[in-house]
Amino acid sequence: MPDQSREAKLSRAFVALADTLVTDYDLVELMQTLVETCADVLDVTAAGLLLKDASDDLHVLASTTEDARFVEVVQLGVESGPCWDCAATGRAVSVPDIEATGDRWPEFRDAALQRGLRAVHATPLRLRETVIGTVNLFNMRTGALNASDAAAAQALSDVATIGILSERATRQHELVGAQLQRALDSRVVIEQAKGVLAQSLGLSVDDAFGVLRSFARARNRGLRDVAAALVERRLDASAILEGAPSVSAPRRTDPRE
Amino acid sequence: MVGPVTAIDEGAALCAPFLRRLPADGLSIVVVSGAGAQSTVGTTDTVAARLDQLQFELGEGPTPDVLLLGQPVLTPDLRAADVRNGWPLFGEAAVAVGADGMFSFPMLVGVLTVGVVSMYSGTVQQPWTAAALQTAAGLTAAAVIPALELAARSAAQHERDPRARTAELRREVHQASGMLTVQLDCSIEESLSLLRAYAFAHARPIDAVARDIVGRTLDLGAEDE
Repeated sequence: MPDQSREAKLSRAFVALADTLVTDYDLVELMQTLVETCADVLDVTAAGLLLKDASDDLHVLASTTEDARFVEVVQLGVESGPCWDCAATGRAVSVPDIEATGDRWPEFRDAALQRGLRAVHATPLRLRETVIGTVNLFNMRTGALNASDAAAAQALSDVATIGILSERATRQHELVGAQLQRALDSRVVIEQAKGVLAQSLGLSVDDAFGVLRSFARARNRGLRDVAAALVERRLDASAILEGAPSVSAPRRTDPRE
Repeated sequence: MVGPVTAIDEGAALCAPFLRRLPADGLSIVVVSGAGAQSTVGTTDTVAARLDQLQFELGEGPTPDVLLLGQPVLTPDLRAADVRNGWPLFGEAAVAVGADGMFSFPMLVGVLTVGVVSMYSGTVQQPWTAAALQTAAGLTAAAVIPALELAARSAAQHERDPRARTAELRREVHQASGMLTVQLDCSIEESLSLLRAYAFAHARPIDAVARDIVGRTLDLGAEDE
């Protein structure tokens, strides 16, 4: 009977996790769901999650207790500990008795024991060669995580990994999309500025562009900035023309010398 | 100068699969920025080009609606009463240029709508089947990044390629708008509105009106209202 309820809980957990992935899901919510599910369904005291950012630095993103959070933060501070190793190698690290680890991770050992945590099992968030973080399961009792819990933790972590990576891909896509869109905005404001200059100075639009470009180059300003200033009337067209002689003046003196 | 030639072919290539696999007579693909700047990267024929132009002129039609809603806008019969109510000017104008139904789909990147694929048919159609809608959505999704890249590449050119087959960015319209801000001492937004109103009131394509202003054969400042 207890086994059955565990299986049922686990199935529900997968459905809940998959649900958070469907539309417009929040990444923090997904990770909180993951650690709470682990703490609830598996035979552990607390669960926490470390995630790498764009520059590969690890951060504590979610934990079910303040103790778990503290022990994770300590590891990040000294860049050592089983969770740190798990993130570095992409392999699960199992520590059935923290007290028996000697001087392998002294800061981690002291912090964990101080908070009453006696065992930890770190599972990588990994897709093929890419490790993006770890899920850490803490216990107040010594002893290795049983095999079926370890497998369940890895399966839950795999689902979360896919969610996290797909969210990142979407965000990357949006960034590229927005950058490409900006090219249109730049061009439109430059065309508008050509019109402003052409009308103000009695030039053709092609000549107006030449004047605009010389002015921007001479002042080391972006074409788009100058164009926007003209269109929004923060810069007067006559200022562009007044600026022109000072641009060509040095060139004119050259032949005479 | 290989780039622009490729760009012209690419616009046509992006349109081709829609015509092959869907019951449409023609289409346009328009990329739109968050600030409202837009570039037509592909049109299959003059009807599609005119529908694109009309929507730009009037600010109404399926394209503005798709951009607002981020969802497909399907009007199998442009003569239907609700079309007249929603698009009082565009509905009639679209029928007059030869479209009887329109089917428009958002180009989505994550939560952003970055453009619209707008198909028309020259006959009144039954509503599209679920399979056709799915095909249209899939083809639209596949066109998003190539269309964005094409639009960005053409926007990076300082001059419009004279061989370009689409309205592209409507550069003359923006140049003319800039000229009008000086002539009439008004904002760029007011200039564009005025240009649109003038084109509609005189039943002339906005691109032609803009070309006349830029070429200085038309002076709206000198015209009596």
